[in-house]
Amino acid sequence: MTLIQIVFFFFSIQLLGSALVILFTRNVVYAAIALMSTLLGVAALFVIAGSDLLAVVQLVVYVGGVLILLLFGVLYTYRDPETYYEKKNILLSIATVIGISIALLFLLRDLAFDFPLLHASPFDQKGITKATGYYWITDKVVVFEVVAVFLLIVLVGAGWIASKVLEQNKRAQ
Amino acid sequence: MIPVDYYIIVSILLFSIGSAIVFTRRNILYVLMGIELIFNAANINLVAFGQFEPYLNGQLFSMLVITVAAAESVVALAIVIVLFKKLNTIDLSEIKNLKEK
Repeated sequence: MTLIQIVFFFFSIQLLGSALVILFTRNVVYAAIALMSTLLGVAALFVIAGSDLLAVVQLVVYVGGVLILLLFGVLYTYRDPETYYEKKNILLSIATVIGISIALLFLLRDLAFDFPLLHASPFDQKGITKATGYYWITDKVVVFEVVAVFLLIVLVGAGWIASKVLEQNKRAQ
Repeated sequence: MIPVDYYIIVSILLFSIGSAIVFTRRNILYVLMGIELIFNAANINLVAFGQFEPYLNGQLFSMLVITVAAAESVVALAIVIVLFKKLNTIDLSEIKNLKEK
């Protein structure tokens, strides 16, 4: 077992363990912190797979943006834990995890992934991040423009939905 | 070099945990976190297969998935705020306005 495989297994175990924490914890803030740990583990897997740029994007967008948004939601919708008690069905959760994963692994058993294993793996290549950035921002710039317009529409729409209801509430009071 | 199969196994386990969260938890915020986990499982697969492709289109597509996930999260948070203002609950089993009487 080489060092890179040990690193891979470490991060996979961290990622899956924190995902299980989200499944079983009762505290929403703990779940948000565990989600951060999971996202960091996924970013580490991206680095191992040779896409450093995507790992940085993952950190910026998920850990910096989505997670903070979720924490805002947690704080906004806070309820007293003594009056709000979420019923948990641990057995059903475990059965769902085991059932879906066994079904998918059973499907995987018949597929043989005979991809050519590169001897010089992508993370060994020098300057792949730079090349990726140039390629994306020159040849694929239309995609980024479409995504930018899409994000603008989504942000304006979400703010409009939330603010309209807040104003109605203010008027009703 | 890590074989692709390891990535796929990690992704399968992450996907099943995420769908278990979506299916069994009642709080809407947990459901959102489960959806994020499912997005990430898909991303792991895209990146793992995309490393064999010289033009890195898998990573580009994964980037699109990340932005769409961020947009989805924003809209879902707006809906959560609206729900909490109107119904004063975020428990999915208590939201039954559309249920037939």
